[in-house]
Amino acid sequence: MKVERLNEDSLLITLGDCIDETLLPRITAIATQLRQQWGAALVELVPAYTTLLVVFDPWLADADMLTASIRRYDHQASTRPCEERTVELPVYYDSSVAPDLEDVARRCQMDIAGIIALHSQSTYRVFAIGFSPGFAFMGTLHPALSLPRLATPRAQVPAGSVAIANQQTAIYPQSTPGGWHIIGRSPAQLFSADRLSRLQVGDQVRFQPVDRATYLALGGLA
Amino acid sequence: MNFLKIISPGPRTSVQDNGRHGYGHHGLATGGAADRHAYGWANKLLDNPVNAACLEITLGPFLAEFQAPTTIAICGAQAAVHLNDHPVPCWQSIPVNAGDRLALGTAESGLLTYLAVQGGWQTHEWLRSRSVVAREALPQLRLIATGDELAYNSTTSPQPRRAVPADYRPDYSLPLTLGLMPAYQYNRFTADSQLQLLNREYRVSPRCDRMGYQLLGPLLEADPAGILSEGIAYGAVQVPPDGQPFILLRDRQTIGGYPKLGCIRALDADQLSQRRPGQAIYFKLTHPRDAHAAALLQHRFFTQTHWQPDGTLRWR
Repeated sequence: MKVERLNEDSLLITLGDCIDETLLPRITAIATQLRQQWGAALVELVPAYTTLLVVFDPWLADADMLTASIRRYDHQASTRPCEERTVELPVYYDSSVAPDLEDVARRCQMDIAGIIALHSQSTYRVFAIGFSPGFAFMGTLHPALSLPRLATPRAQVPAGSVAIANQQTAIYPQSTPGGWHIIGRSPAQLFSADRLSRLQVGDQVRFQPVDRATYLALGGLA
Repeated sequence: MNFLKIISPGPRTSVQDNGRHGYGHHGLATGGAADRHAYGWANKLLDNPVNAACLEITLGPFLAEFQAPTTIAICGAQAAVHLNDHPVPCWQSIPVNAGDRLALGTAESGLLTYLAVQGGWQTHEWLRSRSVVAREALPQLRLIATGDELAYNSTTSPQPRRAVPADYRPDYSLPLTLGLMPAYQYNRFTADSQLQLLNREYRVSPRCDRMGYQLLGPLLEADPAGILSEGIAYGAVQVPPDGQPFILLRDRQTIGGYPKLGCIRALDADQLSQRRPGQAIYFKLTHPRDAHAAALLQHRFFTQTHWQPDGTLRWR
């Protein structure tokens, strides 16, 4: 574990250098213990893949003291069990809402049913939230579905679009520019001003294929 | 409640306070006043809370009409300011009456002007902040448009005229040196890149906004192995594959996957936000402890000094 001071009020805790699901419970455990001990002295805790960004209030905490207590937590954290949450999200996999579905099938040398089966049969882990509010980077995608990002990103990807790129998958919470391959659309709301991000780092996610009628009944847009 | 009616907002005007902190793990940028020095003084002149919302006006021109009396302050970029066609000074408190029209010309140096009103602008508050991060397109948190009406609490009790001492008014036309605290992937940059960064001149690129500033100069090169996205601190200096450093500011994304050389001092990053394309920028190494002390002193100054009847400031 490395704890590094970044600037006036930020530290970065690094637990590894490649994607590793086992690190997420350790990051969550460190964040939980930091909150318990330092409470209001913490301004932000931003987990991602193998790191935890800690932003503190320089009037209430000191970088050296925080670093010392973090080094102590890690030892305890490895023995603590961690709660895990599984979230199921409905997805309508259809070319009418997924402009890249046929192209992905062709490039992966599979039929569309095969793409849907491979994408919806895995359980994914949320590795990071970022890019835009509520945008969750999830993995790991089946290697047979791995494609590089689009050479030219789209100016607008509709909200709810379910997309893949390299070893990851995601749902666009808002309509934003985007460079991933769109293979479906979810009626689920991933971010709202009231409830913020539906997904959190460490969550497990399953995609539930639904038909058009169910998709529309759940509030999906045709 | 009374209103400021926006007649012409200029190219980019938004409401900003100290920012929305504590929601980075939901993917929300902090936002907040890009230049805390000018923002802090605008509120200080009016004895506002340190977190009071100001209008952040980029470049100008800007025109608006007050519907009730109050006191305002304008700090930041150097621009001609008129109240009902009479010139008024920046970096001072200014009483206004109902029907007064405030006009800011296009800034001559600097980019951002903070317009504070006594008590702060009472715009939509969400998650303890009124700051607007335009790209997030959240309900009721958007850029200022023509015809908008911004609420404020009218005050009829006259406030003494106050002015920012000359020493505290920066000259944004000067070259700027940024104090760099090496961190993140600093050691993965080539020795030549580290040397170039600290010894050569960079210039502000036209790609500069509240999210970040691209600098043009000697190309920087890191060990090509990719890195995983990680949390980005204020002032982080990231280097995308084009080799030009990009300094991440208030509206930055919460996480990013380009190699980073470390962070620049918050006080310097604030000053960078006032620089324009083409202006000269230099880097020097600095220690986080010194940067930390400077930031605390700035905060202490804004919270622990008080106006005296003679218009000077004294420590509490």
